[in-house]
Amino acid sequence: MGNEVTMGEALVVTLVSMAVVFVVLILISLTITFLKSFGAEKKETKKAAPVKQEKPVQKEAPVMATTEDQEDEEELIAVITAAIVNSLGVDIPEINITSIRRTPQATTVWREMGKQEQIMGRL
Amino acid sequence: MLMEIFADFWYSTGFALMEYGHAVMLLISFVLLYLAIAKGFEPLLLVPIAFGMMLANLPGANLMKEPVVEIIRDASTGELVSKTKEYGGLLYYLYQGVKLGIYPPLIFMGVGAMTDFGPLIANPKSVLLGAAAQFGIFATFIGAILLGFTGPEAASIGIIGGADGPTALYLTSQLAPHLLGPIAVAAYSYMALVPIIQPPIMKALTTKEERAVVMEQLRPVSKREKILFPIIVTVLVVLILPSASPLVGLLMIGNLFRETGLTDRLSKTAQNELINIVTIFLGVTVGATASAENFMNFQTVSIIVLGLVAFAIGTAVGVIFGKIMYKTSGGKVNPLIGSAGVSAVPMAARVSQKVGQEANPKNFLLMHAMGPNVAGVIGSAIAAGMLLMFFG
Repeated sequence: MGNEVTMGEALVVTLVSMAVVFVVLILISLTITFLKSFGAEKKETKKAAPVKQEKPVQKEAPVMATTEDQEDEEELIAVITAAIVNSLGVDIPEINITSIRRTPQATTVWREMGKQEQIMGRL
Repeated sequence: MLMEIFADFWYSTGFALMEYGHAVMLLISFVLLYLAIAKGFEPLLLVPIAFGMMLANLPGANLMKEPVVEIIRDASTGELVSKTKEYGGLLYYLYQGVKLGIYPPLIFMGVGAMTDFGPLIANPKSVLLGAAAQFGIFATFIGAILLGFTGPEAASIGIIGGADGPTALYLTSQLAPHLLGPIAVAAYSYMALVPIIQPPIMKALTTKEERAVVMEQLRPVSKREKILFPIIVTVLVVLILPSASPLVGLLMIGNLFRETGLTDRLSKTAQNELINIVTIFLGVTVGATASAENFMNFQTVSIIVLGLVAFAIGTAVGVIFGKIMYKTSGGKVNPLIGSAGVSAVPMAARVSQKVGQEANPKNFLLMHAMGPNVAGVIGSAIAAGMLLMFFG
C-alpha cells in the first residue's frame, strides 16, 4: 500500500488486521487447549507417597490462645510448605504435609552464623 | 594574533553554534531527565533516551553525523569502489541497530525469557482479551489518517496503543524512522502512566459487583506444556504471518530458554546482561534521533495526543470484551482483567489487581490478568506484523 491512504483503505487495513489478530490468537488458544490433553505429564507415583517433613516446630500448647497466633502459625506453615515444594521441585497438590515439628538446635548460633557467612562469601 | 586564536576557539565551541532549536531540545531533554530521575518514570528507558536526546542536540558534537562515502574508480583494477571519506559519529553507528530493526527483537528475546506464559496456558480463553485490546492500535491508526498523517506514519503512531515499547520502536524504525523520537517518548511515557490512565476508564465501564468477582484458581501447568508452547506458537504465527517473525520468533526463543530447564545460562543472559546492553544502545540512539527539526513541530503534539487516545481505547475495548466474557461465562470472569490486554507487562496486570482489590479486598486477580497481558504482547506483535505487511 502506498503512502497516501484513503479512509476506505484505512478501514480495510483495520478490519483485515483485527481479523488476523483474532484468528491467530484464537488458533493459539485452541492449540493450548489441545496441548492440555496432549502435554500433561503423567502423574508420577510421587503423589501418593506422603512426604514426611521432619523439620521444625514443636507446638508449645495444643490450642492456640489468640487468633493472631493462629494466623502466625498458618503463615509459618505456608512458608514451610512453599520451601519444601520448592526444594523438592514438585507441585503443591503432589505432597501431603502431615506434621511439622521443631528439631532441637544441633549447633550453636555462632557456628551457624559462621557457616552462613562462609557460604555468602563464596556466592 | 591571540585574538584570532580566541575567536577561532569560540567559533568551534558549541556555544557559538547553538541555535534556538538546540536550546529548546536541550530543555526538553532536561525535563525528561527530571521526570525519569526525580519522578521515577520508566527510568531504565527514559534516562538513556533523554541523555541521547541531550547528546544529539549539543551542537558541534555531531554524534549522529552520517559518514561521507564516495565512489571512486580503483586505479589498479578499474572497478568502481566505495570509499569512506569521513567517518560518522559514534551514535550514528550504534543507531544502525535501530534502523535495521536489530535491537527491538533482541529486547523481545529478553522479554520472552522473563515472561511466564503459564497463566495464559492455564486459561486459553484469556487470549481473546489480548486480541481485543489491539483495537486501540487501529482506532488510533484511523485517527492519525484523518489528521493527515501518511499510511506508514499513522501505522507507527497507532502501534503506541499496543503499549509495547520494542514493538512500537521496531515498527516505527521500519516504517517511519523520522518519528522515532516522539513515538519513543510517547510510548514509554504512557507506559509509565498506565496506573494513572487505566483505573478511571476501568471503573467507568464496570459496576462494583463486576469488579468484585473472585475468579477460580488457575490449574497448574506442566513443564511439558510450557516447553511446547513457544515452539508451537512460533511455527503457527510465523507460517501465517512471516512479517511478524522477528518479534514473535525472538520472543519465543527467549521463552524456550527459560522453560527448558537446561538453558539457564542463556536465559539469564537474555533477561539480564543482553537486554540491558541493548536497552542502553536503543535508548540512547532513539533519543538521539530527536533533533529539533524532527521533534519541534505540530506532528509531535498530535502523536502525544493520539498515543493517549490509543491507550485509552485499548483499555476500554479490553474491559468491554471482559464484560462480554463476564456475561457469557455466567459471572465467572472479572472484566477488569480485560484492560491488561494492552501489553505493558506487568504494569497493566498489576493495575487490574489493584482495582480489583479496591472493590473486594479478597480479590487476587494478578495471575488471571497476566494471561491477557502476555497474550497482548503476542497480539501487538501480530498487529505490527500486519501493519508491516501493508506498509512495509
